[in-house]
Amino acid sequence: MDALFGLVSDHTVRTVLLGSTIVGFVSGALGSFAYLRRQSLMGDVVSHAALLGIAAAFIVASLVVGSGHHTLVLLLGAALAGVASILFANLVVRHSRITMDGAMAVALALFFGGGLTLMRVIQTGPFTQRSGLNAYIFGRAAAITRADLLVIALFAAVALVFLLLNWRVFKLYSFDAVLSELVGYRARLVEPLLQVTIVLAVVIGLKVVGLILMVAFVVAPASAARQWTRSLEGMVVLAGAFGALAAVVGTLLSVVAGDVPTGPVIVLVLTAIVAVSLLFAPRRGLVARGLRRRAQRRGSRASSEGLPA
Amino acid sequence: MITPIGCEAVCEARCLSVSYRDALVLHEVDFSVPPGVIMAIVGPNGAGKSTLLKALLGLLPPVAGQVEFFGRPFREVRQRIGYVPQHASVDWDFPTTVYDVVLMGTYGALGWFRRPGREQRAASWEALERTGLTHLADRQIGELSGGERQRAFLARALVQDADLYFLDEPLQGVDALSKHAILAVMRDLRQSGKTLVMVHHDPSTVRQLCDWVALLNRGIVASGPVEHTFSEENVRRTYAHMPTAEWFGQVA
Ligand SMILES: Nc1ncnc2c1ncn2[C@@H]1O[C@H](COP(=O)(O)OP(=O)(O)O)[C@@H](O)[C@H]1O
Ligand SMILES: [Mg+2]
Repeated sequence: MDALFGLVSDHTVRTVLLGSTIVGFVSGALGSFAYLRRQSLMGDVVSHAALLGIAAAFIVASLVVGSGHHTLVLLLGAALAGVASILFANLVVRHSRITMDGAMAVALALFFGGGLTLMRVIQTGPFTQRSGLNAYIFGRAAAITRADLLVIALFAAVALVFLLLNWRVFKLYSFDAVLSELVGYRARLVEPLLQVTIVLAVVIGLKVVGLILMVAFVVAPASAARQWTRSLEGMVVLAGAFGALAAVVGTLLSVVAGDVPTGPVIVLVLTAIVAVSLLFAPRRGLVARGLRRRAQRRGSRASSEGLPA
Repeated sequence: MITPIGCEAVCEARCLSVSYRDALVLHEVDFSVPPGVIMAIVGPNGAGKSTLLKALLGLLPPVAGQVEFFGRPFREVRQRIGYVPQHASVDWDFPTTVYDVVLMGTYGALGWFRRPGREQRAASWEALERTGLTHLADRQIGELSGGERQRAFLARALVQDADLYFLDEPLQGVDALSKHAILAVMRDLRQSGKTLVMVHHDPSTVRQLCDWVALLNRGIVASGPVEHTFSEENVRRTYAHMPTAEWFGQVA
């Protein structure tokens, strides 16, 4: 226990802990919307597409101001590329016979491929500070700096403010886009707003868990939270709490264990939370449903035995 | 009952054509709804009845034509128009209760930022009561029967306090109790001067339930008061390629 307190009072550990907790909460909460709209894979597309934005922003910043490694610039690039990838997928759906899942795969391949290509260019070109970029691919929570933390907090705050301001519109639109359109909350406006909000929540997690595992932060807390609650309000708050909890536990575990990367540990904790929720949640959990079925069978057997022959 | 002839139409569509991609579904439809009636839209499956409602409400962009409600374009009067879709295409596993769904009917009038207050909550409870769902207010919507779902969506349209309601097959596949409750609400609404347009799948009950009718099959075959318009001849023309004789026996 003392060792744990010692850890938390350590400056670097505190920065990492705070960063990953913010990311866990915000991407868990916003992930609920992606999950409920059956667009969880959007998180995967956005996190992969972000690489293109990060690489492009790095190159542009290097050429313009001489050094490319500014967190704000990189994450703005990531967000722009994330939004662009969604727009691209929507365009493909509208102007072809390809369905959404196909369009998302195309968008992912195109943007991620572009990102890898630019990374190669960066590797071979005359750029300084380029080694830091790999953190966004595999995640390196331990490398989170004060500057990173500020940008993460800024993006998270913007995403949360968007969520609170547009709460009822997002809720109505996610549940029934037809009524939303009818009463005047046009999909043309609500859809991009909601997606930008989700994109902000996704790109801040790249340095914590990396772009490959980021989708887990979007899907897992939401699917666990869905098991326990009966309202959207409850689900979003609980998903945020699960995300934050996994981030704290995962970060501490990886620090205690020493040379273990944080992202994968957080994802393992998330998986455990999901497993417990799927099994043991009241009403919706597998155990509760099994017990209910058994009670029903016993009840029907009892009543059929009670019937006069 | 008011005789609607001569009154200004509450909904008027002129030369409305609608297509999905390249398939033209509705061709130059002229459609008009007089105030204060329950109007049936009747036609075979795939006739374009749901498509007509969606096009009127601006949910589908028309290829050509104009639509006006109360003499105005839809966007100026959207608060006065309610819609109950055909088996609402929502996610029934969405984490929300019946009460919550009904309360969503007030979101439109509230605007983007205002929160529902006492007035909106009271209206929601009243709508639940009118549709006989008070005891189910706390249920998850996924735990409702088909008829109860239909009533919940009717209740959601009721809190909007519209003047004109569009209902897409509200009686299809619902239990007797729900059917009774829905019809009672509809008659009640007409009584208080509202207008209802209902897509109706069962021609044998049109005379009994409605006072105005439009017969539709990719275009309007006939439209007017039930007594004149809903003739054997017109119905046969609407269902031209369908086996009509068996049920028509019950109508005439
Ligand atoms: N989203 C859609 N895309 C393409 N065709 C559609 C779509 N919806 C309906 N249709 C076609 O349009 C025609 C009319 O459909 P609809 O308006 O639902 O008929 P109804 O409600 O009268 O049964 C049908 O042939 C149907 O197959
Ligand atoms: Mg239909």
